[in-house]
Amino acid sequence: MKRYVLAHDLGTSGNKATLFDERGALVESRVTPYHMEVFNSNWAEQNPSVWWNAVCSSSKEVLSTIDPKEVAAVSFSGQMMGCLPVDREGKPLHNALLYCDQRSTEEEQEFIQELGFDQIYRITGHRPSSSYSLTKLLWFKKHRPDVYEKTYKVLQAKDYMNFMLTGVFATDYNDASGTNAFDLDSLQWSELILKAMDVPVSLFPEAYPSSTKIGEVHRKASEETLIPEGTPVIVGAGDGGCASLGAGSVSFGKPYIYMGSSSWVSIASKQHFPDPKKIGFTWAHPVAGLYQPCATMQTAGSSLSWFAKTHMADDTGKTLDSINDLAKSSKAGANGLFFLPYLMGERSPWWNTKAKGAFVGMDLSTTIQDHCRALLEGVAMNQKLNFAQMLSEIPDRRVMFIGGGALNTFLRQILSDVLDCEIVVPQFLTEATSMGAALLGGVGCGLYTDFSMIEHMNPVKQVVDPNRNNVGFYEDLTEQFAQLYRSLEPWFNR
Amino acid sequence: MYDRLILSHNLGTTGNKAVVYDEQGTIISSWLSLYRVIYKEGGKVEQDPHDWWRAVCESTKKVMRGINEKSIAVVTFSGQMMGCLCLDKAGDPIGNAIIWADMRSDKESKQLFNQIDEELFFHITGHKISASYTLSKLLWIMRNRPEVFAKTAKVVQAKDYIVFKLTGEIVTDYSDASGTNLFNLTKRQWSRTLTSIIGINPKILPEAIPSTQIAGCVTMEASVATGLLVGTPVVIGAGDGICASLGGGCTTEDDAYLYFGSSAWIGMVKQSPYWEPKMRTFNWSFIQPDQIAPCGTMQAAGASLDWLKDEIAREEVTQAELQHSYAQHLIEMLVTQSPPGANGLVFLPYLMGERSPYWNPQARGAFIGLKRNTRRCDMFRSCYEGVAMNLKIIWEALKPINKATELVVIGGQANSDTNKHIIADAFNIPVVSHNHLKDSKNFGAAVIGGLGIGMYENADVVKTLLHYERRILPNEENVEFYDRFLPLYEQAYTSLVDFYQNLDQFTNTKEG
Repeated sequence: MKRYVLAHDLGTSGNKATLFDERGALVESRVTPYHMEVFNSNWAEQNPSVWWNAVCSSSKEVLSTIDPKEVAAVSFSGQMMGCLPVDREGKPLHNALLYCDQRSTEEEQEFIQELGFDQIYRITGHRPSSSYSLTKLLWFKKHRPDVYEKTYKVLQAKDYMNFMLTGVFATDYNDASGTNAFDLDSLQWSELILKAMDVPVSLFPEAYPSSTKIGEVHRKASEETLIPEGTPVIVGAGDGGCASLGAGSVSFGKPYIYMGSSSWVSIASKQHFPDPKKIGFTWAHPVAGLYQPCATMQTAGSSLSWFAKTHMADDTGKTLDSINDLAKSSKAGANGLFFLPYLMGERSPWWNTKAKGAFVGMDLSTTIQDHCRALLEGVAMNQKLNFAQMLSEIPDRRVMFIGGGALNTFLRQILSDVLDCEIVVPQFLTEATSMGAALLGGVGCGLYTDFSMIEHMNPVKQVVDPNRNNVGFYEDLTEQFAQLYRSLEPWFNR
Repeated sequence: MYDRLILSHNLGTTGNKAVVYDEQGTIISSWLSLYRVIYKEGGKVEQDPHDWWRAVCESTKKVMRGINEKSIAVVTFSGQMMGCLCLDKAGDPIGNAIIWADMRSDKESKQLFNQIDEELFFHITGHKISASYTLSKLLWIMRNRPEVFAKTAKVVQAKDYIVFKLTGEIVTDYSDASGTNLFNLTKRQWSRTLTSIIGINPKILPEAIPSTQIAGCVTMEASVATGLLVGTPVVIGAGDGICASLGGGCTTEDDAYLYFGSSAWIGMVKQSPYWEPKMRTFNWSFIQPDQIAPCGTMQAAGASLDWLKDEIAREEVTQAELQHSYAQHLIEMLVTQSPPGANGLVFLPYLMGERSPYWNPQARGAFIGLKRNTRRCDMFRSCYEGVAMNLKIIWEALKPINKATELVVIGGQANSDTNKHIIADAFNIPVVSHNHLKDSKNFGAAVIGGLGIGMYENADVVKTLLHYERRILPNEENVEFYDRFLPLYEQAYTSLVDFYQNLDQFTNTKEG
């Protein structure tokens, strides 16, 4: 009986293979770690054979715990916004450039000059940036014509794995929407953009809804992975998209916050999200027909671990609990102290790489407790600025909170008060991407009836209600918070 | 046996320190009696004058143990300035004293701007209009406590009340008078213009006399309370800012000093006031009737560093307790691990608002420029540098009148070589300390007392009484760095001015 989905989460630090059964329960999980090659200060690459080897070994390990014949489908969540040029045979022509590779800043400028910032944002749902795939491809075109001339397709990480398993070149809408070359409205590669940049549309693989079966595991791949030949392969989605599914954002509305070292806020919308302030950006949702507006901040959880080092003299992170305890003994507004959490510049809402962190508002009565409180409030208020517009577009007032940061119980309450929303915490906080991939695999092969299966896979464990006494106060305080950033902006940009 | 000893009191904010000196300025004994600071909402800061008197009596008795009261040649005072204590006809306090740190009268001080031109005011008093001074505090009492004002016969400073308790004479000295915002600096008399503008009878202000003048002698009643001999001469003394100046060896045009305690100021002695074009600094009357002491004071200098220790450096405090060492040493070890500029981090030391150079009671403290790789040592260093940068602005403001080739640093923070190095580099001047840096105010008052009874001929005697320590020289590379760093610091403050104002209103509405 076919009763398992083999879901892979292909990240930048390793590949996690997981098995979910027909009831959506996580039964096995193995991680094969690997490294990122960082050089020239902001170049970042990975050899795709490292990915493949990790997928093979982790597949073998989890399949050794069951009868491999019971695998109903294979599916992937993958790191996004990369650029892997392959030839006609699917052989990599260069290491993959990763999302954080920033070598193509000149190409970014040319791209903006050619098409205009606003037009690119309107078509792709994203700001033009060297973070995305297109300018990386343009870098190859200019600096490595030898590679570019031979390029037959440009793939994302999971798409290359899918090719290795099936021999088929394909991608999904969600990953495609992280390339700066995909038209969000038509869900087609943007001929307008690609023509303007003189790149053939044919370089990009056909894009499908994320739960589409694109092929079956062929013999050679079966030998290397122990996945039986003929097992259906579901195209899957980018890790951001899969995380949305894992957070239960599978139908219209369904807001959630992910918080790890960085943090993003997101909803599921019915159309390409109009954001006149360009605070966030929009992906194609892994659930066909939906979109995934998103806004992301750089240092959320990492602000807390940084604070533990600088303010609590603790390099081990053991004081994270005491940060909470101390914060509780201060009060809403931290006695006039503000924290700007811009330790690595900021993306949403300010998009300023030069922004810096700050504590502002101390007097002689300001305590370390106030600092802890301001720290949590600063992260929460920044996400309020990022989330306000999205929340106003949907009826939902329940926000799912996932990621390692959601372990912080006091932060749940502060987010609830600041956002004026219920904060909902599910059972699994750090398995969302694997669950999303498994959900796509299960729905794609028919093992799961539909996407609402996520409610069984990751049931709600806690609901935190906003403290009504604080809601209005935090609304006003958030204005002060934004005002503080604007006041310091010229200093940051000097 | 001792002969010709000086009993010097320093009536500070946290307590009264009594020190007995011999003629050579050597400390024979000393005693500190603490008293309360009463904080109330709305920026109110008060003290009970009876606490002052009890502390003076107690510390006098303690400090005189083993000393024959006959050998006390003079009693004299250094006192906290800029306060407002209302006395009735009998000389009894009507309620608590409002002290220098009290900011309740911000509204009253702002209204004064409508009544008199700010620059004219500056040229009369030598000071800016500010809630820090006696004048606006008195206006607050007139408006809000009319029953107190109706009974008020005299408005005095802390040391004046104690001198009255000892001698029965109500007087003040020129220096303390020059810290009231009511005194005509160059004419050395209460300003008729100002008393008539605010509508008070000039008679409620005590007669102002030179700091070195004998105010009276210890009365029978005071003798019983303190143990001092009846008839012991009491020299009025001076405000602590002026006493520190003498304690810093600053008596001529060629001298400059930095008092670096909880607050900090840079002071000089000149023949005429310095009308700083932006009114960032101010002027006191000095002890000689023809001398003026230009000065710029910041609010939270050592106070910022103490705050750092108490709140952020808790780990170092714990470590120091375990190791039986000093937290300050552990903190300053970290400070030296961070380079000048603290990796781009700026600390604004405005934890009590600020007087010089910005005169902004709404200003608040800040760390600005935090990054992922900002370290604990950078945080610590930025605090030390932030205080030094604010002082550097004051130093630059006073530069046109500065003739000093070295800077004497006194006060509790002068113990720190880290501080002295940063000051030397920030100011680009050799820095030196001496053996009376912790008792500089008492020592300065003692010299004033000695001058008052003819023990010393002139103030320059301090230079022979003080023993100077080795000079700390500026590091050329760091000097250039801090010159470049200063604009960064100043811009950090100026970019926050509007925010400070909004925040103040926001806080007031939320609390109101």
